[in-house]
Amino acid sequence: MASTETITFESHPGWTLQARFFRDVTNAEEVGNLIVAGKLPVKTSVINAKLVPDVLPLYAAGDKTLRAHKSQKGLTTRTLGSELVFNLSGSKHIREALTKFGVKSKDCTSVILAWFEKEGEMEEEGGDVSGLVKGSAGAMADLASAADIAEVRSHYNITDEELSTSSLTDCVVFRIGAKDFLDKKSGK
Amino acid sequence: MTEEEQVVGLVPKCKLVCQGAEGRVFETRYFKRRAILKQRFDKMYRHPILNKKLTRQRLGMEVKGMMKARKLGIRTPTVLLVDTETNSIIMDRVEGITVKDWLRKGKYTEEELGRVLSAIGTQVAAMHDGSLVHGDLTTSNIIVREPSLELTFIDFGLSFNTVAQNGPEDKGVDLYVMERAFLNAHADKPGLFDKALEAYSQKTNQWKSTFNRYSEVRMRGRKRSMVG
Amino acid sequence: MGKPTICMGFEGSANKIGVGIVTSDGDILANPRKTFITPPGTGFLPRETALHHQQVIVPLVQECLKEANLTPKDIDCLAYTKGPGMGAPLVSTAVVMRTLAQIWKVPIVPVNHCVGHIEMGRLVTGAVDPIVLYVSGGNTQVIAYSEKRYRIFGETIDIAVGNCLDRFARVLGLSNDPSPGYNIEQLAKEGSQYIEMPYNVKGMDVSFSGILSFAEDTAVKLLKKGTATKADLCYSFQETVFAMLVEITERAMAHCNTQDVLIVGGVGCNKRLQAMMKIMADERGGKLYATDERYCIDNGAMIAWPGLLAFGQGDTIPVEESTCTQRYRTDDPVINWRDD
Repeated sequence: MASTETITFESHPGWTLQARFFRDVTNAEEVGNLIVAGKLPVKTSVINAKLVPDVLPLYAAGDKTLRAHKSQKGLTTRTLGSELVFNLSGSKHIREALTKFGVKSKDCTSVILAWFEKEGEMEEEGGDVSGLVKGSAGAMADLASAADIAEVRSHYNITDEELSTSSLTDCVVFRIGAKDFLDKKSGK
Repeated sequence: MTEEEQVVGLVPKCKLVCQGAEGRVFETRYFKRRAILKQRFDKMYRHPILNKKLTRQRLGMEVKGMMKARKLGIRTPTVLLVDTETNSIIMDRVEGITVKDWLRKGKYTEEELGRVLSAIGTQVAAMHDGSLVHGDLTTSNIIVREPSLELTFIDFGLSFNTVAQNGPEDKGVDLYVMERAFLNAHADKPGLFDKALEAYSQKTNQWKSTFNRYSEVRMRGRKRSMVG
Repeated sequence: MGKPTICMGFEGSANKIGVGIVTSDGDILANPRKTFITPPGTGFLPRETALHHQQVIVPLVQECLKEANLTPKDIDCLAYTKGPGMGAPLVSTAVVMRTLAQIWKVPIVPVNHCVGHIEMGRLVTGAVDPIVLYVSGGNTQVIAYSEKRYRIFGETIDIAVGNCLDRFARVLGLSNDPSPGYNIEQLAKEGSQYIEMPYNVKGMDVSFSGILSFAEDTAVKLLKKGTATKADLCYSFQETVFAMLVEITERAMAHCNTQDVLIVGGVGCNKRLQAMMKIMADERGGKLYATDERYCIDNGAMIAWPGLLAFGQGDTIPVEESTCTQRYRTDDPVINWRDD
């Protein structure tokens, strides 16, 4: 059984983000189609693990998602699940975010399944859809080795100079936390 | 929560560390890491339109400035979250003490002093060559980590990108601000800035134009007619 | 307990000429002053200003003695503005002082004009060790006392705020009577629309050339188009420029960990500036100290008082050394009379 990482948020007591890492996934395309068809629970995200070097970006994206959820303005996307992915991407373009970070293609072989849970709320449809994913359970600690560093750098536009000052994870988290103030591509 | 802890926006357990001119700085935990929450005040003496514009602008400049500095190879704290509701930035807590305190403590060797001043000069040069002006280069805005003596620059709220033709003036002023900051905070240790400037001159590609302007800005204080 | 020493001070570094008499008890016995006012749209130039001072100074000395009910025999020393300021007016004033010193056979004490403002402010308000914002036609400095000197923490990197206000008034064609700054202040009260203008704080320093250029182009255009009134422009200009001053003052206060602030200099008369500074000081749990136009604006007593303080330390000079200098930094003179 894959170990579930439970992410708690200082700003959102009672809420957690549950996350599971799967490697050697064979049916990414199929799962991706389910998402597009709207057949997954609204609080769930299926994420391309290649682009996630650590748990910290999930924290950052999850925190932003819950803040938006509680705010007057509300979410930018339609569901908590898609909002998580949108925030993770550090991009201001929803479609681009969902495409890159989602699991549409056959060559997506590592996947993170993440779903929000709120204490005291029992839903008929739990967020955990692990059963749908055909792959082997991994530990969240393996994220770093499973990530494609070149792709992460390319997507977030992380240069050598920046990496000399800070870890890859920190570079990613910066872009997630500060997204609204940075220019899209260059992250300037 | 203990009595000294506050909630700032949605963030609990914030312990006030200091109250500067710009705002308050709290220590807290975020994403399970030690973090700093920097909250800007609304200034009641300002016209509300001006206040909103400046507060928002400085919040943005701080974040953009830090990102730009990183792209130029300068270490800054990692931004974890920006909250416009409370005008706060939550960032990684940088290990170390301010250069101001480090100099005041005086527990360094000549060699270490030279290294730190040289690093300051070199890194400011890198920023300037990349058209980034920090805007508030004081010894309280540079953190030094012992024993590596690694530097981290903070407080980019007054930073901006300098446009070509204004470059020399903006950089000259930035250096002048730094010179005065050294003189005011460390009057007992003359010559510190000169060492940093020496390193700056070695590293920058635009020494001549920047130096000319800097010299001119310096003399303005002395030359001003001071009538009235 | 002897009788208090009495000093007569001479100030004429810009367009105001003042002669004042102060006792070592801190009593201001007389402080008459005359101002050289030029037509609207013009500023004052050294030659005409010096001529004005030369014409009025002797009667002013007589008026001063009369008001104080004293004769020359009662005067123990003469103090004068050594600098900074405009050359010709400074020298015209000093020449008269030198002559009187030789006739009356009394010692001379040179005084720095900026230090004069600071010490007068401290005397009149009772402030002990505040951060000082010194704002006038020729100066914009944030000053803090430390180790026998008044050190400059922040200042303008281009023009002084008073100069900036004067030029703005000129652009708008406002009268110079009683002063351009005063007329901007009055007109500002009628303004309601806030127009965004360049705001330039650089660390602990400020820059006014940006807002002045803005005033000279954009403001003029807005007036022509009718989108803004002169009152609106005055209002917005003050709100912006004063906010910059309050900000750098607050920065120095935070840096030095001082909560009290004293405003001195001609622009310090402005009630709006005082109000804004008070809001900031209150928020910090500190006090605002400010004086009225008798002492904010250049006057003789503000030279007599520090003159006395220096005289008490024995800092007199022979006549040959009683020169003037246009450039004399606030942090140059050693403040002998302070022990803290």
